[in-house]
Amino acid sequence: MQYAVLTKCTNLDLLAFTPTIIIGFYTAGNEKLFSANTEHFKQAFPHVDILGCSSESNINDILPHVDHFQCTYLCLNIKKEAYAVSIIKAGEDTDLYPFPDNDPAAIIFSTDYSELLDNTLETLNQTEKSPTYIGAIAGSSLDSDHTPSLFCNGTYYKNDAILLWHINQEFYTLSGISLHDFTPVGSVFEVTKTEEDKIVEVDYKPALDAIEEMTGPLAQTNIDAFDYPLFIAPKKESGAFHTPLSSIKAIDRERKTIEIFKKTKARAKFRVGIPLSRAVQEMQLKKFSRFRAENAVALLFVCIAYKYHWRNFEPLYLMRIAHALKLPFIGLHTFGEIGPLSLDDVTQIQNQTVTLAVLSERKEVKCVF
Amino acid sequence: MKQSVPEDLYTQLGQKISLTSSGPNLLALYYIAFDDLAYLDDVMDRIQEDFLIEKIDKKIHSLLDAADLYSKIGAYQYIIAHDVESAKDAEEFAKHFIHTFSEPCIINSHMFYLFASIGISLYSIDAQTIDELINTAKSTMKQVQKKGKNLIGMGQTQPTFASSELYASIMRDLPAALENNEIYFVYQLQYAIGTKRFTGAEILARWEHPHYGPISPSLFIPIAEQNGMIAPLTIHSIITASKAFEVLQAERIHDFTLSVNISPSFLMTSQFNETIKFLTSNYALDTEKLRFEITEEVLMDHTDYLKQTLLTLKQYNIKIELDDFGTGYTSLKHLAYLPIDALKIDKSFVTDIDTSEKKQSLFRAITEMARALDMEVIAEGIETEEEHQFIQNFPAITAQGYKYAKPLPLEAMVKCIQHT
Repeated sequence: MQYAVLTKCTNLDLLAFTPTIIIGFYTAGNEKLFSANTEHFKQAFPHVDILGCSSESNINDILPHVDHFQCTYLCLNIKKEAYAVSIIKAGEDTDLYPFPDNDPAAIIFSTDYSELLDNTLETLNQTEKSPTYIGAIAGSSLDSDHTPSLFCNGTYYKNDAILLWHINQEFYTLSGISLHDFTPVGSVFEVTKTEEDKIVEVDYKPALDAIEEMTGPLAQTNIDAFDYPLFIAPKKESGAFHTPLSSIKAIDRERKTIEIFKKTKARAKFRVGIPLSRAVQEMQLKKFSRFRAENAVALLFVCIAYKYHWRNFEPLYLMRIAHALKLPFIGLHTFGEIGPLSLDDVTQIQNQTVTLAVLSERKEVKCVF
Repeated sequence: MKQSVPEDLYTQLGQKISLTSSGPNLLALYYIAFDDLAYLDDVMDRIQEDFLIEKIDKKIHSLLDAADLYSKIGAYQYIIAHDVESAKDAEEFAKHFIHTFSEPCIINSHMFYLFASIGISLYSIDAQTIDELINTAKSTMKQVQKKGKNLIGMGQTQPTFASSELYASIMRDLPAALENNEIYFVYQLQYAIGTKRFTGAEILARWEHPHYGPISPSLFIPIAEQNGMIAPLTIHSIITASKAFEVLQAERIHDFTLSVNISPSFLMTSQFNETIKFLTSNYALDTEKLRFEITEEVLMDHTDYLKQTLLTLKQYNIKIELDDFGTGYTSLKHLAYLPIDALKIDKSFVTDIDTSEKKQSLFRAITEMARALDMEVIAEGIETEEEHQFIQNFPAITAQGYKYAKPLPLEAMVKCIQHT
């Protein structure tokens, strides 16, 4: 597999190959720049597919990490027959299994956390085969009005859309995992009343009171820094807390409600999460080393919460990831990730994870062009 | 900047610039700060403080002509602007200002000495716009304020930008410069006087901008410190050192040190130690031969924290060199308290040392002191044969400068070492 990681498109003559597909991440609000770069790519490589996803900020393997690049691209030369691209929109029929002979696998990007995404993942997970779906919910800066978006071959999608980059596992394998840095502590809480997206009561007490009895007062700085995420266990798996996190989005002191990023229904159980120690966090990142492979590239989907957890340590953490992976990668800070918490887990919508997708060649494949 | 300056001053400055530009004179802007007055809140009541401010105001007015502009900017900070015939005139005015305030103020039988720091910028030499004029003077003031009391700084003494466009370009292009290898590293060799061989090198960053050509580190390093690029830049230089060590080992060049400059703004961050720990664990860094150069500026504050950071570096056997020694804030107390391994005597003490007995005495004193403290000495900026001849008298020291070698790429440095 031939690849290149770029942050701009002005030195394309240095590319020693013709890419067939380019995955690009752009900071939300920089669609104009991304479009201009896309034009440039298309002029140089008329047959290339270009997929994109907006971010809060971009990541790549050019180290030390510099948080300044508005766009970052992974250019790949892979056989056209080895992949397919589809867009899912509500009410429209889309072929979810373009490669029915193989275990389904795809990189998923979603414009937002929506019922469409929930339903799509539920459908995708219902296959009898061993699916691999890993991806992200598009991101944006928290203090801007920019709407997250996706890009697919010239078109932007701003809401209620899902982009699937299907991988034909006859030629390439897709693998990956979601990792987070929290452990559940304290009592198991039960949601006893909700109103729309808000948790109103927990254990028949005002939700905020119930949480703060355990955590102490939740300051706005804690909320803004995505501290104290909740481990949500679905009703049917109430005993299992190897479950995704959901960040607390907002609190209402007057009404004593809590709003979290995931829709939660009454009788859902949860526990509060606290960060693992720094030493354990470092060990976590080393888990990525098991995904090393020959002729492989990686995509990294990092929850925006990590910008606040890592802060000035971000270059260091990314160097750790790079050393663990030893693969070329690009990545982005997202509003949510999609992936499994373990290798034998189903793909779920995640919060506060570093989610890795690794695409590796099964055998030598030469591009037709 | 515009928001913190009174609107009428802004307007008047604009008018003054228009008038001055049409004549032979320059417009000088002085940014003045009276230092160390925070304690006044404890010793004065509000009335006394107002009285002091009034006294300062009167004294300043006594120095000005009718056409001069004057405004109070903040707590004990002022801007003055007027026409001058030359930069020297502006400097003279600033000196006169300081002299005027050298007499103590007496308020209710309390005697107060006022110390001022003054930054001067000249339109259109140091700046092309009002904002640049004020910013240059202010940053110059802050620079001299760090160095002591009653000091004057001219904007020209600071790295100046030919245009705000260049400044903006550096700000914008610096991140990509690392990726594109526009920023590269060269090595300036260090020569051991006693053994007459090269025993180390200082790693220096250089930037070849695709549009502006070579950009001096004196321009882009301060910007890197402002825009958060200093950490990646420093990490890059340490990784470069690791690669250089591999090359040196392959070429069988042993006992050769490499010095990396560490900015105070990175050294004093919480992630510095972790970053060094990571780099020493994952890169081929021969830490016993790695040296970190720190500047005297870092000694200003948080000495305890600095000591802990330096002691952590010592755990990795990394030696610490104090750069530009003699130009800044180092006190004997610092030298006794901090784990410093070497002093790099600033170029200013070495230039024309052969003709200056004072410099010779100072040099001797520094080397003696360093020897007594078990510190190495590196003399910087040796350029002439005469300077070289003088330091032959100090066989224990190391010398660095164009007399021995200009900064070289790695390959050229290796060849130079091998041919010596």
